[in-house]
Formats: sequence, C-alpha cells, structure tokens
Amino acid sequence: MNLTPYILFSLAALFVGAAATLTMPYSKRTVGWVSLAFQTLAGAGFLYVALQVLLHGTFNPERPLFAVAGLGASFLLKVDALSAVFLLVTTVVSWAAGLYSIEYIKHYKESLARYYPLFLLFLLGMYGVVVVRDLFFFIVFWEFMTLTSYGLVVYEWGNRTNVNAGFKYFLMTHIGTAGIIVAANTLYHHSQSFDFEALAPVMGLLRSDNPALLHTILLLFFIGFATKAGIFPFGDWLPDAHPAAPAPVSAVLSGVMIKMGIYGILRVFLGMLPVSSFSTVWGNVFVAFGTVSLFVGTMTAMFQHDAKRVLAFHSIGQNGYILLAVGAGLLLAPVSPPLCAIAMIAGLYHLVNHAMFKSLLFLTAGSLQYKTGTRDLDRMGGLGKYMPLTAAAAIVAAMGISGIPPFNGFVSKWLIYHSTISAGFHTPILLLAGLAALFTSLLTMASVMVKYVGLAFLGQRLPHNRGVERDAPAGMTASQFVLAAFVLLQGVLIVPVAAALYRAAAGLLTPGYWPEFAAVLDASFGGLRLDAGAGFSGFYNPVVLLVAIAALTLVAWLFWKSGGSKKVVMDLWYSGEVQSPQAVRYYANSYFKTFKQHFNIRVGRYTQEGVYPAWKLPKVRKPFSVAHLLDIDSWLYRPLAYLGSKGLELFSRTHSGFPQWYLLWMVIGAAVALVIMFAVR
Amino acid sequence: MFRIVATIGILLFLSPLIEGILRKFKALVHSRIGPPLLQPYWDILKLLGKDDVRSPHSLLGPLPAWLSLAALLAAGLLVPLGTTAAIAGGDLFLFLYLVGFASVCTMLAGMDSGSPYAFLGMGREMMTSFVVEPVLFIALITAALKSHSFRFADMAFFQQVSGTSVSMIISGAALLLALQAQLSKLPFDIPEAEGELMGGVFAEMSGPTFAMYRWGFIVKQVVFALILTQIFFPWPLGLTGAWAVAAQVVKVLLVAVLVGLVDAVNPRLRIDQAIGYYFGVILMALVGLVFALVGA
Repeated sequence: MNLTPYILFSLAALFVGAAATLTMPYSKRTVGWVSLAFQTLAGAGFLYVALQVLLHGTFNPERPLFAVAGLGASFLLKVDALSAVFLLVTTVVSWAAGLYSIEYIKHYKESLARYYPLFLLFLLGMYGVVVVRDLFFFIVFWEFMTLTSYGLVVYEWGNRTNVNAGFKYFLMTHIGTAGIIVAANTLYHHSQSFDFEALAPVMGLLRSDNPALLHTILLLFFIGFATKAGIFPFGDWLPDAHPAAPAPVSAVLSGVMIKMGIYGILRVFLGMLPVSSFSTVWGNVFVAFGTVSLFVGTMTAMFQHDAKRVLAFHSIGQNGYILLAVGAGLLLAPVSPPLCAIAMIAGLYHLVNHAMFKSLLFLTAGSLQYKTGTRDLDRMGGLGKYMPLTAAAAIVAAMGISGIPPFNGFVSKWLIYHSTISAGFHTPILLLAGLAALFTSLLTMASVMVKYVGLAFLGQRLPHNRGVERDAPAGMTASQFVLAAFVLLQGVLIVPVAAALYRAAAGLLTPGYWPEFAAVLDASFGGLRLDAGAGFSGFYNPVVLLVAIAALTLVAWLFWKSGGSKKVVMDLWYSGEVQSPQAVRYYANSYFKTFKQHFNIRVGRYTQEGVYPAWKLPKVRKPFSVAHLLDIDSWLYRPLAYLGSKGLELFSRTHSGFPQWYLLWMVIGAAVALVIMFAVR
Repeated sequence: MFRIVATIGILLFLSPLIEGILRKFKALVHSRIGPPLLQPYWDILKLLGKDDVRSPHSLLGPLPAWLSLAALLAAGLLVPLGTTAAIAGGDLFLFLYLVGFASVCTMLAGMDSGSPYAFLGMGREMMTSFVVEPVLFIALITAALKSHSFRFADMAFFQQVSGTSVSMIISGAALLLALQAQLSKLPFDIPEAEGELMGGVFAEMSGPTFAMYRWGFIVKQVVFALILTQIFFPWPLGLTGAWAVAAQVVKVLLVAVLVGLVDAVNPRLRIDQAIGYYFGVILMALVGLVFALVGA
C-alpha cells in the first residue's frame, strides 16, 4: 500500500497550518482552535500511516520522491514499526499539548505569531525526522526541529533568563549536530549515499578495515544524539530550557523531542551497526552513561524547588533509564538474543511511558503556573482542594513515573530490572546498573510523588494562593485527562503494547536474529511471563492485579465502614498554639535534607548543592538579536506600520485649506501624469 | 481461590495475635505486666467505632488508608505461606512496589492533613526508606540470583533443595537488621517518634482511618517476618505438612520476639545516625550479593 500521499498530506497540513496561523487576525482562542484543527488533520494522517504500518508491515518505497543530485541526497521515505511508534507518541502528546495551549497561551503578553506557527513547524520537524530514510534529510528535519524549538524556548524573550537558557540550548545542540554532520559526511565519503540502507554495509566494511574511524564516527553520533536526549553530562541545556518554554512546549520537548535522540541512537547503533564486538563496546558505554544519568538527574531533582526544574531533571533521569535499557540490549545482543529483546522492549516501553507521564506532569506544572503565577513550589501549597482535577492528573502521572502498579511506569521498570539483573552472572555491570535503577526509582517516588505532589497539592493553602478558588479551564484539564488515560492504559494493556514495541525493535535487526515474540515473552496469561527466554522467571498480570487491589480495597472499605463512625472535621493541632500556614510550612529545601547532605560536592570551601555540576555560560548579548529576528512584530510589522502612518501623516498635510495650494497640487499632478504618459510611450 | 481467601484471613485475623505476643514480651523485658494478649484486636475494634477525625485541609480523605491496607494484603498474597504462596507467580519487583505503594499512601495521607508533624514524619519515613529499602532489595536479589528466579516460590524452594549457602545467610542477617527500621521499631522508630512527633504522619488521624494503618502495619510485620524466615532461614530443612506450618509459626514468633527485644532495650537514634548505620548494612547486603555472584 502506498502511504506516500498520507505522509505528504500530513506534512503539508502542518505547513499550511503554520502559514495560516501566522497571518490570522482573530482572537487568541480562535487561532488556537485553527492550529489544533490543522494539527488534528496531520495527526489523523500519521495515525493512519502508523496503524497501517503496525498492522501490515513496513512501508518502504524504492524510489525517492526527489533527489538533490549535487549533494548525493535523495528524499526517501520509510516508515517501519519503530517510526510508527514514534509517530503515535508524537501525535498523542502534541495533540494534548495543542489542546492545552488554547487556554494556556492566553496569559502571555507575547505575540501569537511566534507561537502557533513555530509549534506546528516544530511538529513538522519531529514527524519528518522519523519518516525519512536518508541521513541528509534526517539532518535537515533535525535542524528544523532544533531551530523551531529554540524559537519556542525563547517565546518569552523579554526575560533574560529565558533568552540565556535558549542560547545555551541553541549552542549545545548545535555542537552536537555538528558532530552528527561530520559523521554523516565521513560515512558518505565511503558509501557515496546517505541512504540508511546503504550505510549499514559500509559500517560492516569499516569494522574490519578501519575500526578506529568507525569508533570515531560512532562517538560523534553518540555525542550528538545524547546531547539531544539530555544525557548527563551532554544534556546540560535541558534543565534551563525546559522551564523557560511555555508549559505545552515543555511537555512536547520533554515528552517527544528529547526522545528523538534515542531514536537516532537506535537507528545508528541497532539499525546500521552490525551486531558484533562493537555492540558490546557501545553497549557498555550506554549502560555507564545511562546509569550515571539516571542517578545524577534524579538525585539533583531532589534539590530543586522550581516545579518545572524538578521535572526537567527527572527527564534527564528517565532518559537515563531508556539509555540504560538500550545499552543493555546492545550489550546482550551478541550474548543472549532473548534477553536483548527484553531489554530493547523495556527501553522502548519506558520511552513511550515517559512521553505520557512526563508531558502530563509538565502540563500540571503549567496549570499551577497559570493559576498561581509562579513556578516556585515554596509559594504554593494545598491547591488540591481547589484544583481537584489537576491534582488527580498529577497524582496519576506521579504514580506512573514512580512505577506504582498498575500504572505504566511499573511495566517498563519491571522489564528493565528483569533484563539487567538476569544478566548479572555473565555481565556484572548490568547487575550494578539494575541496582542503581531500583534505588533511583525510590528517589523518583520521593521527589515527584511526595515532594512535587505534596508541596503543590497537599497540605494547607498558603496566603499567596488565596486567589485560587477554581480549577484550570476545561480545555487544560481535558488535555491532562487524555494523557492520564494513556498512563493507565499503557499500564494495563501491556501485551499489545509490548508486541508492537517488539516489532519496532526487531525491524532494526537482521530478520530472524531475535527469537519470536512468544519465545521472549509469554503472553498467554493476559499478562507477561518472562521465563520463556533466557532470563529468570517472573510474572506480571496487571488485570489480575487491578481486580485484586479493587477487591481488597472493598474489603478494607467494608471494615472501615463497619464501625458506623461519623466524620468529624477538626482544626490542626499545634501543641496548643495558633500558627500561620507559612510558619509551620515544610519548605522544599527541608525535604530529605539529612539524606541529601550526603550528596553535596565539596571542594575546599566551595560546596555544590546536589550532584549536577551545571556549566554557567557567560552572559551573552547575541541571542537578543536572534530572538529579535524571530519577533516579526518588532522588525517587520511595527516599522511598516510606523512608516505607513508617518507617510499618511505627511500626505494629510497637503490638505491645508488654501485654494491656491490645491490648484498647485492639480498643476503638479497634471505635469506628473503627462511625464508618465510620455515615458510609457 | 480458597488459598487466597485463607491467606487474607490469616494475615488479617492472626497477625494481631503476634503483635499481642510481641507487646507482652516487651512488657516482660521492662518488668511490667503489660496488656492482655488480645489487646491489638481490642485496639482495632475500638478504633473502628470511634469518630473519624479529618483535617479541614484534607483532599484525599480516607482513600489512602483503604489503598494502603489493600496493597499490603496484595503483597502478602505473593509471599509463601506454609509451603506455597497464594499466587504462585508472585514477582519480587511487584512485591517491592506494592509495599512501596502502601508506604507512599501513608505519606500522602500525612501530608494531606497539613500538619507540620506529619510533614516531619513523612520526611523521616522517606529518608529511612532510602537506606532501608536497598537492603531489602539487594537481599532479595541475592536470593533471586541464587535461585535463578524472581518468584518468591522458587526463592523459598532454593535452600530446601540445594542446602544452605553463605550468601543467603549474609543477606538474611542484613535483612534482619533492616527489619527493625522497616517495621518502625526502636531504635529506628524515628518517623513516628511518639515523644517528639506524636506519631508523625498519623499525628492528625483517629478512628477507622487510623485503624486501617495500624492493621496494615501489623500485617506488614508478619509479611516481612515470613519473607525472612521462608526465603533466608528455611531451617529446619525438609519438613512437610503440619510440621512445616508449625515450624513457620515458631520462626515468625522468634523473629517478632527478636525485633521486640531490640525494641525494648534501645533508645531512639537520630535520623542522621540511622542513615549512617544503614549505609553499613547496605554494604553488608552487597557483600552477600558478591558472594552470590562468585557462587557461594
């Protein structure tokens, strides 16, 4: 089946949408709906493409749509199961973010001409990255994605912190991308083609001819993709850029865009690099970086008190989990194909899960900012009673990220632990990584479930939040519930999700390399059983668990009810004194302080709070001009309007009221007309 | 189905008795007469009938209380009781996360009340679990590596079949040390610390809601004692039928008494002291893991 028209239609819909929203003179809300309509069109197209691919196999046309002969590049499309998974994730997350934007973006002063068009082009870039088969156009879309997202990060360009964060993002990702471009050109030098399928044999040749060069190429790819994925220490831009962007953009950045780094890693290291000793080397590297990243990111999140910064550091941590699983897969590929398959499924599963719960968390953080006007967790508290829907969504997302069964995070973490710890005997590094991941999961629970939810939604309402009486607008809560539904669904319908992800990863390898899905994960119970492969046995059935928890909760409720006691509401007890909420508040800094002190870095008299040594970029003036360039109002519309009104003002002076002047104008006019007539002749 | 109902029944209705014995024993050490053996039952019954005191700031109400008891019972279903578990496929990680879920519920309920004592208790509870949970999972992973399975049933079976091993004893000892804090007993009852925090997260609770947490706590005590005795100290090996059950009851009582003894003769530590102590215990559990890796 030819899916080309659908892909092109969807890309075109986004492009047309960008053009339409750029020029629209209507209210903010109308522009938002129009943008969402175009987004829905594009999403529907890609949804169809993804489902077709997942049901009927890879779409891989032979002929390119067009070729750039001088560069050796050709626009080749390819949608395999991996791309389909990314298409689905992008569609769901961006649609929820689009719906959220309609109400959310209204509280910004900035022009919408810099929001919706860039947002749609940003989506265009991300969709484009996953549907092409040509490294050249991959990089083109990659840059498209980076530049437009930069524009969105500096949306509030009057704020110096944001502009600096944006500049850091711009600079760091471009250093990474430069590496990718160098690597791509070096490969092109050997293959005379940018086609992914032509690059795989070249890597095979280089492996024996020039291993040092191949390692260099892979290193450049790794740094480029890891920078995008926010892996410590390359992803230093992430904790600054995520809080700077508007909440729906942060949601898409964290939910989808940083996953493109993982996509690139999978394409290169699993799709192009043949399974060999090279996989082992790079598997080890990934496991090491993943483990460090997950620990450092999550640990540092515990030190933050800015709602979105907490979540941004968790993105570093959670992407570490994904990289760890991918690395475990690479490492185990030559040793044990079934365990490798479990690890890869685990990584992709966590990727899909993280997309849902992290974007949901960012949206709830956005709602908090929308209602309270601040992102500082120390200036909000007890909001759950006034924003119950947002609180419910935040708790669901926190359950997901903490891996509480039956929510989605548990499944992927469970698979990660199984694949890493099962391999403990022959690859002890994986055992160590698995233990670190288990411990970090505890930290995740502490800082999202307990700290973020606890500080913002539970406890007493602070006087700062006295104005907050009602929940965020319906559009915002609705989009949160869309994502919350996915958080739960992915945790319950684990068999179809795992099967789709198995196909996504299997499609990258030589056919037949992995055992059949049924030989890796036994799904005949409605749940998943792991003793089919080489791993240790383990078993998880979310439906049974859900039923059991429901039944046992009912039992507990019956006992609770049995005494017939009545509810009494009483004020808090402060040892007989009266205290204001601020005076007895447990501030963000106090959370787990004794424990955190063990993780401060001390060098001489200098103490670094937390374990994430951030690079401070020097203050720069440059980004203002870049931001200025993106602010069409300031360099195009306003000057034009000014010139226009000035010109008309001059023209109005001709209307002086003296008949002599009017006669003079008529004579001059006639003369000019004559001159023109003669000139035209 | 019968096994499931029986396990739930045993966990709910027999574990208070063990708590009663523990309390009696503590009183003996203190040279007191102590409460009657059935006191824990009367406590729960009385709490169920009292007024349900709620904080005016509460969002979640008694929901976490139900969920916490349910999660602990579900975790109990995975643990071998007698010779096999009620749900044979019980997975180690599922167990860890269910127990974790129960304690998250407690912490959320504490914060939900808005009481500063509850927040302090929550912080201490979380910090304790940062250092105690690793001991638990490292010990259990040691057992998993030895038995080549993440299922409790296989882990419990391992020493029965292949005899005692060094690594299991070391991890068992580490787990025993961790039990004291896992069950909030002195010298590690820092999160509740009646003298200074008035029960920590439970500071604002009373009535049936508090009964749920008390009851869950008593169940948790038995579940952990079962894990310790079934997986790490399965001696005497080779018992069957009624003898196995009898041995199990005696061993659970022994663990309870041991925990009670330490509880009775120790003063409370500070949280930083506890963290330092448990870093040592984590190291010990890691030694057990290394022994397992080299095959001992």
